[in-house]
Amino acid sequence: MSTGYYRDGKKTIKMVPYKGEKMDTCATIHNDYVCCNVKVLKSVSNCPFDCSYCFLQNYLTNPDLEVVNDYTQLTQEIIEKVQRQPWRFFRIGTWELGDSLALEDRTGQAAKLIHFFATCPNAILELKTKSDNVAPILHCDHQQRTVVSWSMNTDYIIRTEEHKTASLDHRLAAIHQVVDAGYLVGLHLDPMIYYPEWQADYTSLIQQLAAIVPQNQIAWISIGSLRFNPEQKRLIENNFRGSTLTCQEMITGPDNKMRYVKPIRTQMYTHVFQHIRQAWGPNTLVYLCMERWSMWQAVMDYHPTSIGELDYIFADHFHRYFPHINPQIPNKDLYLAYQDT
Amino acid sequence: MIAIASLHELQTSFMDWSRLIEPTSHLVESIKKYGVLSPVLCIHTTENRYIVDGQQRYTIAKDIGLSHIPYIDLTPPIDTATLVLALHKPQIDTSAMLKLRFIRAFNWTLDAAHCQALTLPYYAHLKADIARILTLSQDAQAFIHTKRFSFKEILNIIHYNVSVIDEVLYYNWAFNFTKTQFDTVISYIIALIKRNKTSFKSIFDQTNGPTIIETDTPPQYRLKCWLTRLREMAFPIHTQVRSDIDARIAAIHMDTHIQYDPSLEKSGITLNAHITHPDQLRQFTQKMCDNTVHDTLCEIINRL
Repeated sequence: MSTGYYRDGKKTIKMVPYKGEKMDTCATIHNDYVCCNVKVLKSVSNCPFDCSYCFLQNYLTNPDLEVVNDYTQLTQEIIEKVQRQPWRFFRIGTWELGDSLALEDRTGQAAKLIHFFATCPNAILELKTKSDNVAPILHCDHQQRTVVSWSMNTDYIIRTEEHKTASLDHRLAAIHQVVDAGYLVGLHLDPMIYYPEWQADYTSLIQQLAAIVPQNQIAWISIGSLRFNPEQKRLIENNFRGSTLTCQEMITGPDNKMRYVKPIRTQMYTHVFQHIRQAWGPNTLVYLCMERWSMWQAVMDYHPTSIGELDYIFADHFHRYFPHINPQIPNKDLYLAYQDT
Repeated sequence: MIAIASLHELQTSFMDWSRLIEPTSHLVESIKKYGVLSPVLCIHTTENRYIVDGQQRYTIAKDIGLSHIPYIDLTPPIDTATLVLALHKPQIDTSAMLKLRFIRAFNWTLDAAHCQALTLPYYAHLKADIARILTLSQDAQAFIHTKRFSFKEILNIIHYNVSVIDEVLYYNWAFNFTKTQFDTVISYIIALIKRNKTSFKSIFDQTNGPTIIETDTPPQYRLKCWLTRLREMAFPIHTQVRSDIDARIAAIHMDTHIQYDPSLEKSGITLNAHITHPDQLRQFTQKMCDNTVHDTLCEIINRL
């Protein structure tokens, strides 16, 4: 049972050398789903937080909390890869195997990457966090080429399932600071979790966010719901015995992931999507994470036809609304042709 | 040296952990016919003589009314726990439940080396987990042993509530659970208890359990009926949507087989018709052009 070790590893940071390629496509990409084709930089592995639903419980074979300290080689790899496809507008996140900012006051890694991306012509950085650890990056020269994102959930879910993370109030305060510092902000309402008061709580969450994040500083908003494979269900139940996460009506889909049954997901997504539109209007880029085109259609009355098209939509959105970040007119044909890269 | 002892002179407390092991009928018949041929192994302390190998021979002899059995006293240079483990390792290795009972019997230290010796995981709250598992009733422990649950699988079923295992197994006489079926039932029951903040008894009543166990049908049929009711209770929305779709499909009255993804995840339907005669093709075409059929199929597609 790796469980005990998995938690033990969270306690100490290990600075490790650059080894192997660190930049890749988000691991959840799947042809059955309309995925966004975001790229990930695996510069952090493991996380000091202890969210009950975290897939790292089931994913990490090395339990150590590792941070790559060879910044030069890390950025060299990025340069090589983004230069290979100059037509593409890359979104690159450091959140796949850990939290982008939780350790920033001790590692300074994010600040270095912000400076690098400020001059990177066809790529932006996404730092995604559940922390409020933004002080080290507030004065960076970001040129709006870094999107600071939060994985947001209701106060109830943060208190009961997102252990050791920043409280909702602290996250909101941190978002406010980042907005004031001129950054673009990403909001990830993911994983949405079904519980008796979900409707009122998610409505309230969106209202609180709308009060502090202006539409012209929102890079994107994603919506997704709780999902895990059956092995992880067992780990959640064993590691978090008081949690009621796994007791709702969930079904295993053809991709071996358990999700709330489709009617529940449709209801949840539609509810938050409508409130997002009310809060920020029609020009905010909203997308579903790991859902089929039929779900997009049901929720948004529209769907991208492929992974390549959604990737293009991001590039097009930035070209239209943030031309100083993506001045290049995106070529849809290239996005469609190279969607597997 | 082989000696003979009266059964009441022999203590069995060092072998209590093995009481889940059912004696083979072959051994029972042999002892009935010839008595205990192979002496049990004992260690002799200043006060008592303890069996360390031969619990089944002892139990059978007692059950069939023998008064004496042969024994050999061992004088091992190792402690009793190590001796018992050395003598029974192959048997202990076959069952996680035996391992845990062995640990308790000898109050075995749960350090990394001991865990490795028993191929058990070594983690912070292992001791607490073992203590919880051993609060299961003897019947539940015997079931888990017989069905060869691994340690991880035991943890999976006891994670929320140990007593519910005993409550469900109380009806094993009616359902004769396999390991997989038991796992499924426990999974549904625990989800429902958590979700509805209710009790096993309430779920059992609501799923028609008391009536099902009284039916004069084979255990597997009873279990199938109960699992169907449990599933409906655990998946009310999914069940409702599927029933609605199935009813619409039935109402079309087509020979065509209309399929959809039962998980409801994949959208769309598949029409499967085997047509061997032009008349059948004509009927099929007419049916598909029928407005009512068309509208019903559209409704089904929209639900998916």
